[in-house]
Amino acid sequence: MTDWDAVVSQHVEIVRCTVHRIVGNHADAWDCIQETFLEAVKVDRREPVRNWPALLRRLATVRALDFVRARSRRRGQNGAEAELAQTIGREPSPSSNAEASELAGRLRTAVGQLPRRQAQVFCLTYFEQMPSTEVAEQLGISPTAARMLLSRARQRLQRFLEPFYEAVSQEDERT
Amino acid sequence: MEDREKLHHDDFFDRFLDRAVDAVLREPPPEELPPEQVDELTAVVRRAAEKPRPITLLKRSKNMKRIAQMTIATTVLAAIGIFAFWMVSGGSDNLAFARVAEALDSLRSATFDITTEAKGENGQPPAIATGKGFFLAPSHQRMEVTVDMGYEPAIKAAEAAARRAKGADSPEGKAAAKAAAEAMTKAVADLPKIKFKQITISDGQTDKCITLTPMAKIAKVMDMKKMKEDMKKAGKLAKNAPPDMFEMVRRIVREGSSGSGEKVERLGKKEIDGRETVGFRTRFHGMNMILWADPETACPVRIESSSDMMNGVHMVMDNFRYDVDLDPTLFSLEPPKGYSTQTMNMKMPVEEDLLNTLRTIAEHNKGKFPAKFGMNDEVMNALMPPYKPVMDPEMQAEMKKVMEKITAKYGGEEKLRAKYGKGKKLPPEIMAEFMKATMTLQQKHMQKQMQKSMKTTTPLIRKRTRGITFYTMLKPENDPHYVGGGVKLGTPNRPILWYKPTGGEKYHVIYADLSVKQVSAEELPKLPQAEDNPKP
Repeated sequence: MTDWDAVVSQHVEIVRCTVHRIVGNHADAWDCIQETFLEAVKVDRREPVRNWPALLRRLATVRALDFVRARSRRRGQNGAEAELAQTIGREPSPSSNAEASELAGRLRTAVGQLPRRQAQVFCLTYFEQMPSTEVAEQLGISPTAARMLLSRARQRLQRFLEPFYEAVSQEDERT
Repeated sequence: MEDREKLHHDDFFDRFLDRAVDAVLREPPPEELPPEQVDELTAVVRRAAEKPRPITLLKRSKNMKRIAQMTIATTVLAAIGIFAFWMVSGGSDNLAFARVAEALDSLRSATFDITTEAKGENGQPPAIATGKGFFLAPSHQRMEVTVDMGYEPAIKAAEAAARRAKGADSPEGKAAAKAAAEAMTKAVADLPKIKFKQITISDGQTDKCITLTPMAKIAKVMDMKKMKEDMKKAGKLAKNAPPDMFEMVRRIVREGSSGSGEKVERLGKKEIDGRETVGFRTRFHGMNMILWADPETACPVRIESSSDMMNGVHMVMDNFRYDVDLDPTLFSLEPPKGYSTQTMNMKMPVEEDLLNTLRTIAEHNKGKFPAKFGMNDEVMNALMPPYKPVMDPEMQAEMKKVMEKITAKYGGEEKLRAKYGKGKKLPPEIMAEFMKATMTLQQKHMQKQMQKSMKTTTPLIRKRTRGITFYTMLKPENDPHYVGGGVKLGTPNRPILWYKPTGGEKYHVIYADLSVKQVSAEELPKLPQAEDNPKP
């Protein structure tokens, strides 16, 4: 019998931070956190859970990405692209904090545009810092497939973010 | 020049990506959740965990994996008209049992009962399939296997819901659970029993076989001629293979009784159903068989078999009746009217099939190879495509009408809500009425659901399980070993399986990255598991 009080109290912070990294400061993050734990209940019914932090990070990533993608859909594809174009078109802020925050926002928006599986592999690898073998294990795919998905995700991100990082690199070269 | 520019470009992107990821990771963490919000979350999660799992007929259809396992197991274990017999070599010619031979030579027909039990894994109760077998000389066979899908899960679910609603350990809870179980038992008593039936008819002379699934009205016609020819070419076909089960039994009895057969162990005498019998134990191609036969006629009285490939599955054939009148139409290889037909030309599986099966299992098993390679739960779960029942719109509309009718009978939804609150507090008799209506409808629509599902899943399962068939067909002289339990797919230089192809001089070693190397016996991997987990 799983002690759910302990599971929630010990891991709520992990879930919260994972959701936050993908969704950002959004009121709906709370829904993602709840849904993550409810999904964990279902997983626990199917099979014994050996690694709660890894499972919850995976479920939170999937849930948060679903939320970001649903948000994009609600706005429409054009809306999401416009949002990305808008953030890309902005001049970098002089304040390093603001610049970092803008960078993070741009990356989040672009990740939300990736195909589902690629986005999951990207977030688990870069945001959750999981090695490819663990990413593969969590997503039930082979490490080779995980590496391939990550490579494709990077290629897509490069296309999405090209106008912006070129501007940044030119700025860097000037300074 | 272009390449250099691209490298430069990629390098900028890498740096940019590092900065962006770093920006995400370094963001100040969100404000901690207030304790009352954590409490609220805990309460929501606890309520979800305590909620009984709704078990409906459609959801129980997920048990298709288990049903498939049972029907496959029974078919393979019985090995009627299937390749296993072709591979059993002929016995000794020492006719110590001359009378026996005479008795069986004149055998016209036989019927027998079949019971297959699969041990429940992960706390599941054992699954039981029962059936009937028919034999008509010279080589016609028919096996009917039925898995009772029962209503026990629905009764248990109603019982648990009532207990939880009133308090798990309270006397009220226990009384409510008892009442709910009784109401549900009564409600489903007049519903027809739901049984999954599979019929396999084969003819050993024409090498044809047909499998019928009456619930889905699907007929699978298999022509095994090509497979038999391939097996002959590959040297896998025994020269004087028994044409049917009874001939095989006769050979076992002959060998065992004359003491000429090294592979047959005598078990002495035993009384079964008031008859004296003599027992023999034998083993071939991973199949273990215990046979109890009439000492006078050598006709089987009871046959118990199990297979290493299907861990925990045990089959018993008994209640044999000989020379009964059987309708020849029982053995027709023509698909019945109204059945949709799938035709399959069975081909002998090859090493590539083994590699594909191993890859599929690992990819659907969290990237790892299974503990044991065979038709066990771990492998079947990985190989069976997920069953996703989609509620038919027609059924949905019918369901709505039926629900409205029952609700109206009790004064309408408003009144029911006001009186009892949420559904789980409904009195057991009303609850049972709703569940009975749901089940009746689901049963009505099940054929369509299964037909849809089987059309797509059957060819896929057949393709995916070819590697297991390949492995099953390896003989002891092929010296097969599986040592891949828990090994991750793609692990370099890690052997998971090896065998020596028939007629070949070198062993084929399959590695976790599914590469194959040919090595001599001296160069075989030295893994500790290799000794513990060989395929017999």
